Amino acid sequence: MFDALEQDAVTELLNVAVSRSAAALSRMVGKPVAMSVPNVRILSRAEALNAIGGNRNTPLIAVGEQFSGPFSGRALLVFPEARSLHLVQAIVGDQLTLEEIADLEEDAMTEVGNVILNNCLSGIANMLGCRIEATLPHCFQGGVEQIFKRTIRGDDDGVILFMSIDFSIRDRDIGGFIILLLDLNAMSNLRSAIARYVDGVRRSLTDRESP
Amino acid sequence: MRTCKHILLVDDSKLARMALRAVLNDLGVEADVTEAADAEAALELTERTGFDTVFMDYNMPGVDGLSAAAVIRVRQPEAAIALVTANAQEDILAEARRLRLAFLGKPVRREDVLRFISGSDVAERV
Amino acid sequence: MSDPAAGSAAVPLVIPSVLDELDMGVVIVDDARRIVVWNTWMVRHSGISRRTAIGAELSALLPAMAGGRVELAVRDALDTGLPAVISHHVNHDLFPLLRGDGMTDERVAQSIVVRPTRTGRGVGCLIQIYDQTAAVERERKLRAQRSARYHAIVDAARDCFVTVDEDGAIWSMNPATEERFGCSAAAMRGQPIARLLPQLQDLPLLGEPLVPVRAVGAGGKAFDAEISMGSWMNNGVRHFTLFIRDVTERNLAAENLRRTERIQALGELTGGVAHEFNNLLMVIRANAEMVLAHAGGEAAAHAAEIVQAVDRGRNLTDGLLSFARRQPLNPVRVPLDAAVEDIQRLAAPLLGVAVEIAAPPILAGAAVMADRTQLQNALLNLLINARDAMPDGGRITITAGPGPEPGQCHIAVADTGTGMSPAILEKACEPFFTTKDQGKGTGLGLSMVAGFARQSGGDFLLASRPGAGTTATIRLRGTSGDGPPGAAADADGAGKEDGPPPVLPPLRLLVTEDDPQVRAGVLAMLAQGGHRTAAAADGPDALDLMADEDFDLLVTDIMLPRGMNGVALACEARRMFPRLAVVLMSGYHGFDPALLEAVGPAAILRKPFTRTDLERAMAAALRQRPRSPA
Ligand SMILES: Nc1ncnc2c1ncn2[C@@H]1O[C@H](COP(=O)(O)OP(=O)(O)OP(=O)(O)O)[C@@H](O)[C@H]1O
Ligand SMILES: [Mg+2]
Repeated sequence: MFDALEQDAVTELLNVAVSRSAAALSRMVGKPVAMSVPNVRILSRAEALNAIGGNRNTPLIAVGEQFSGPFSGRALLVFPEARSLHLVQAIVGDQLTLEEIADLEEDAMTEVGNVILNNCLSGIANMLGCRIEATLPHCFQGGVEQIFKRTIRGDDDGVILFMSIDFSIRDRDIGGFIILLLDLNAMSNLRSAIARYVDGVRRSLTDRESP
Repeated sequence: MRTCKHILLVDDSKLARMALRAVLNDLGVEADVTEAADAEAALELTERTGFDTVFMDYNMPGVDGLSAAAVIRVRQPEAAIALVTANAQEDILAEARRLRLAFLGKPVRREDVLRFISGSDVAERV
Repeated sequence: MSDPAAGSAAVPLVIPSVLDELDMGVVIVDDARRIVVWNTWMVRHSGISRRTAIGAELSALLPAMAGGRVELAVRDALDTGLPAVISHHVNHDLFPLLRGDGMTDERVAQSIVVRPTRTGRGVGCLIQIYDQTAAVERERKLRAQRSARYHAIVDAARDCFVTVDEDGAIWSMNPATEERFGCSAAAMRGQPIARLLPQLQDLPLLGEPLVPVRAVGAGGKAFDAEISMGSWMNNGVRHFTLFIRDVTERNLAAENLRRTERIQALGELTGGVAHEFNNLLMVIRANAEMVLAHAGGEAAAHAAEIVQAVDRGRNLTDGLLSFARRQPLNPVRVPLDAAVEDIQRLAAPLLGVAVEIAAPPILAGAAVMADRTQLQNALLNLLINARDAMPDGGRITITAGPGPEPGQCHIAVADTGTGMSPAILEKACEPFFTTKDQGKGTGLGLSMVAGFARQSGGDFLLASRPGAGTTATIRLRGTSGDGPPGAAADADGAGKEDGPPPVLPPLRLLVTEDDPQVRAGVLAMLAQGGHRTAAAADGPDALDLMADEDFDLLVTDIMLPRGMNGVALACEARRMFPRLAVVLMSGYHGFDPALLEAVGPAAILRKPFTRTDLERAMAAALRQRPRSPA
């Protein structure tokens, strides 16, 4: 799909994006957020389903946005629900009881998902020098199949950029996944944008060396 | 402008290193540029070779850039080191300040690099 | 991507007027982040007029918001076109807005949507502010209702409640848990449950219905805990609530109960064995004495050896019985002044020089009905407790006299020692309760004192306060002043007195004893003296005999078969012959002295006994038998 340098470009792109998300999350939480280097893969829908793994019925919480611009598609952030409660607790602080946290979980997750996804999308937009618009985020709950059924449909003939991300806030691991579903058109747009970018970099290097 | 003859670029992304090189070329920097794809390689290099300027990615597999920069800071107290990352968290910025590192946001911008190599920027958030 | 042509007329003047009707805040900023729309709702709740707002930069107008979530969201919306949702749940410093409804000065809880829009100048950003105050209030009320009952139970509970999630991370704990484990709920939040209970490292253990563990609580103090668990789902996530109950005391009580029951069973057993044994000793002794009386030389010397061995055997059975607290009580009239004087003399060497002991004069003639030896033991126990409570010395005062109830006498031992806390006081009389070091106290002292007092038809009282000393009071049934001390039922004591055996007139005797060998032994003892004797194996037989003949004296075992014991037999016999003299023989008995009293005057003879013992008891019984026919 991508050549080595393009794959490198995509990884770096999303690495930067997730770094910005970590910074934004840290600002929200008011605490350091540790983050591992995300691992980026291109997967089919079925592979993505498996990659989220775990029990098919493990309750998940997902935040999704639809984006459009030079390339369009859907962005999805997925956490196992048990982790998401940790995340929400880290954000809203320790004073609340479990019931209170469960009550505001959806609200808080929507906002967190929005921040993380926006940073990813704007990272891509920045790097590629274009503008991406997105819908307001939506929160979904359920098993992985259920969530996919409502967000990444089987008849979508797109490509999935799949990232596992690993945050930890105050020694609490909050591992989740970012899924970018790009339709074929978007994919080729992304590819050509990346190719342009890579080319630009290449050119400015050779420009310098040739004269 | 400070001396900028021996530059070390540390980043796990080849493209990121290329992009930075392109910016340096563009700015007309005449220097020998060494690249390292991870912090371990950078630490090995700085053991033997002296650098006056270091660009250090923060988020890398294995040893992170901040830890590597801390070691290099001890080995090469005079070097100008920039931490390059989009992860502008307060505690990372604070640690960078403590180590006298410049901070360059990702994706790197021409102006920021210029400010850094001309020596007018030390440990200020960009 | 912005399209300036399409946006040139995007904010005509009419739109703000519609915006002003909205029951929500609307702010629009242009690409230079200057405010172009500030609707009436914003004016009302921010207190900032439209004139001030329009044209100002958001962060300049509201410096508190600089660098905050809203400003960053506006930047993103302008720069990249991405919208943002911002919730009051997550953020505390959004727009500084007040309810301003004339009722309260509350801040408006707000949720905000920031999205890119177009203005007359091109790209802009729309900020919608929703008032969530009512919703927040409603949520809060609902939650309060929901949790009120839960907290009423959980917070007041003395058991520990801890809620953990599937990963075993602690979510909440009740005050009892904080106290028990010496930790704070806030600090433990998110920590693994293993920090409290290392045994729960593997959460699967929580599948067990009831897990007993040894836990370490506040101050490193270990305790036995029993953990049960409930699991519940919240928004699809499983949580566990652990109930941790401190069962140290229960275990201790159960252990004590087991010990007490063991001792009781042992008591029953030893009591029974001792009874049988005393009968055997009785037979051996009676026969040995017979040999002693008739043989001479070597045979007599051997018989004397046998008698001595029997006496040692009797001491042994006595020891067993007193261990089992089944010692036969032999209530006699004990004058208080003599008893107190005796105990002072007896205890003096045990008390040491630092303890002063005093007893105010005691009303002459005041006396109780009690077993003399047991009373002495009880008082000794109280004096030793008093001494132990005064390690640095102090004063013991023994007071005794009639009262407080009519027909009652009391003996009180007061000390100036440490006293007891209410908790210790409550338990002091329980068997095995002791605060003394291992090996120093068995914890049986007070329980024996109380048991003795009750067994004697009286009671036992403890009064104490920490630092104010202790007063222990035994109350016993008093006895009328007349009659010489110890004369009422002095058979046992009299038997041990030296002096010539009493001379008995020839009597008509009825011996009732179920053990044929004992019966034969007793009859043999009575063979001399010119008595006419009859014998029966049980109560009904004896009554049959009495129906045909007159008797002067009944010698009966207390334990008899066929549903009628010696006491009942004596009562029945007295109905037929009111002036019948009665000697009760006992191996051991747990009889209430009040029951014995129903018989009326009777001599009590402990097995095994000698012929002299028997003759003395018979003499005593004759002396005390009712004077005149009823
Ligand atoms: N006079 C007293 N002053 C203070 N505490 C007392 C006094 N008498 C008893 N206690 C408390 O009550 C406990 C129980 O007393 P008890 O006589 O039953 O057992 P003990 O003295 O501990 O052991 P034992 O008598 O078997 O040697 C004592 O350990 C002590 O704590
Ligand atoms: Mg005692």
